[in-house]
Amino acid sequence: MGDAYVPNGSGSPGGAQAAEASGTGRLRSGARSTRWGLVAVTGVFLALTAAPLLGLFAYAPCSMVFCPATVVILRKTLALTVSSSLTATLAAVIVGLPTALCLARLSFRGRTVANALVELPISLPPLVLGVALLLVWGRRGVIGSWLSSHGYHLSFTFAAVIIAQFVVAAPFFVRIAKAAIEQVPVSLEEASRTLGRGPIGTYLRVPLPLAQRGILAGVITCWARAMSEFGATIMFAGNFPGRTQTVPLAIFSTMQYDTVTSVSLSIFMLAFSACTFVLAQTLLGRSAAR
Amino acid sequence: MRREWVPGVWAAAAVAVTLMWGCHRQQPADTGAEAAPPKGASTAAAPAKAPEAKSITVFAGAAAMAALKELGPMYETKTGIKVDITSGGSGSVMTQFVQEQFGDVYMPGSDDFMDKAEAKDAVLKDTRAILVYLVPAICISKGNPKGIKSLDDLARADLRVVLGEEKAVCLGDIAAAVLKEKGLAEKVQPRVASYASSCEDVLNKLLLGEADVVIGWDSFAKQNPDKVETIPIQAESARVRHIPAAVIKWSTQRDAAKAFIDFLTSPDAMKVWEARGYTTKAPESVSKGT
Repeated sequence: MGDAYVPNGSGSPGGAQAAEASGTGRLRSGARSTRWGLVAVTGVFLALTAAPLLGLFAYAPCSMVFCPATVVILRKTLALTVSSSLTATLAAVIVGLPTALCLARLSFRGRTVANALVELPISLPPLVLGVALLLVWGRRGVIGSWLSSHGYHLSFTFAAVIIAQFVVAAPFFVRIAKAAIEQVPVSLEEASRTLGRGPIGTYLRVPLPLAQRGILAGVITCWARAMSEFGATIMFAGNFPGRTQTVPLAIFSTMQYDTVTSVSLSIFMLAFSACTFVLAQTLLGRSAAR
Repeated sequence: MRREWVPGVWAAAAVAVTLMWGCHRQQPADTGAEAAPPKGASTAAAPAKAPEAKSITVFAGAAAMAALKELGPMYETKTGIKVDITSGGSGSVMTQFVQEQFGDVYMPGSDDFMDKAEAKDAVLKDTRAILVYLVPAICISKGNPKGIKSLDDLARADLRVVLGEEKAVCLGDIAAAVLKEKGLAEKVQPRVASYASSCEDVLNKLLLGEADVVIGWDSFAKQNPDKVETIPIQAESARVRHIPAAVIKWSTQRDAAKAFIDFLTSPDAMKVWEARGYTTKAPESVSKGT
């Protein structure tokens, strides 16, 4: 932690400067007790959230990540997990970015409801989403039965993995991207419009580039969430090795008969997530420096 | 102005391609499986005769997976028929195949789930087979560090006990019945650290050190000889249970499904079950549950 605490510095190109200019939100370097208080609370927070993860290492040392059983399972599941989660993330960006723009910038009837619906999956257990997907897209589902009658089945397929990951992870992207776009002053877009740029051109050249840091954060969070998705996937796509079994599902399966392998797979996921977030921080740092 | 629409068109095309690709991906997964019966088709009249099976789909409780992950490939080598296995909670996988009216073989972790499947008319009763037996036992850490000798010790103040959840896990029902029979129910209750939601969860609580003693299966020790040992339970209500298998009612290749179940009870398969720590012969000292 540095000496200064600047609130609301992310996602807004003007936020940090504004806070600096006004002097608000910055703690005096002399206020040591406040600083130590904040550090102490952060320490408690980390002890509650991050420390239990270290327990994994106590059970199975790092070296076990590369034991033959773990490597065999990773070979079967990692490519599947990465490809499905990247596809889900791509779909989330393609559909989610216009959605975030719409919710951040347009006022229309039912906007509040649309906002709530977008965020709804975040508050639901993924298992519930998995059951819902099965009831809609499954062989006897509302839409799935129509697809089935044409010879297409979605449930228990690789496509089902992507859909499950999308449904669970995309709302995180929309939420973060929307918040980032909202930070960009509307006046800049109005200026662009008065200078003759059309609405889509304005969106592409003003709020999206200015909110890119937040959007990137959304992409990374979405991808990480898709990679670790479990509940909706196992319900809608099943747990078929080589077809729908992702790394989190493999962790669940091996937990039933080989705890050590299961824990070493967990350590792998932990390391993978850590790398993702380091990468995210680096990218966000670079993006902010521009 | 028109150029501004180009990214939008590309995005829409990308979404379409993603969805199309997802749809087509599932087709190979259905190879050898049945064409889905149309919605509302009479399921009772599912054809018993089908084209030669290329693959069969098994919905398995997690408890059987330690052996099944070997037996599946073994069957494929022997017959050329691929065995697609999805595993999870015995109840969850039942929900999946009942909702989807899809799959060939159901293999829950214990017989009570098969009873439920029969009650729902989701499996063919005459195809039901007993694969291996589950014998209730007091399970403790290897070396018995807490010096546990009998059921009476479960009431000791220095012990953390984990039991299965009554009415949710058959191990929970057994534990409750045994403790009641021995007049220990009230004495043990304060020692119960938690109630586990599956048989595997009971085992994991012991393996991860969250429990000093659990009421589990004898297979826990056979499958984890370095970590777990068992003490027999001398009680009338410690009934022997079993892992069953049956053909799913909606299977369109019932003969192939039944042939796989026959293989699972064959001498070759029994060697695998035995090697993986399952009890293949019914113990005579205790009453059999059904």
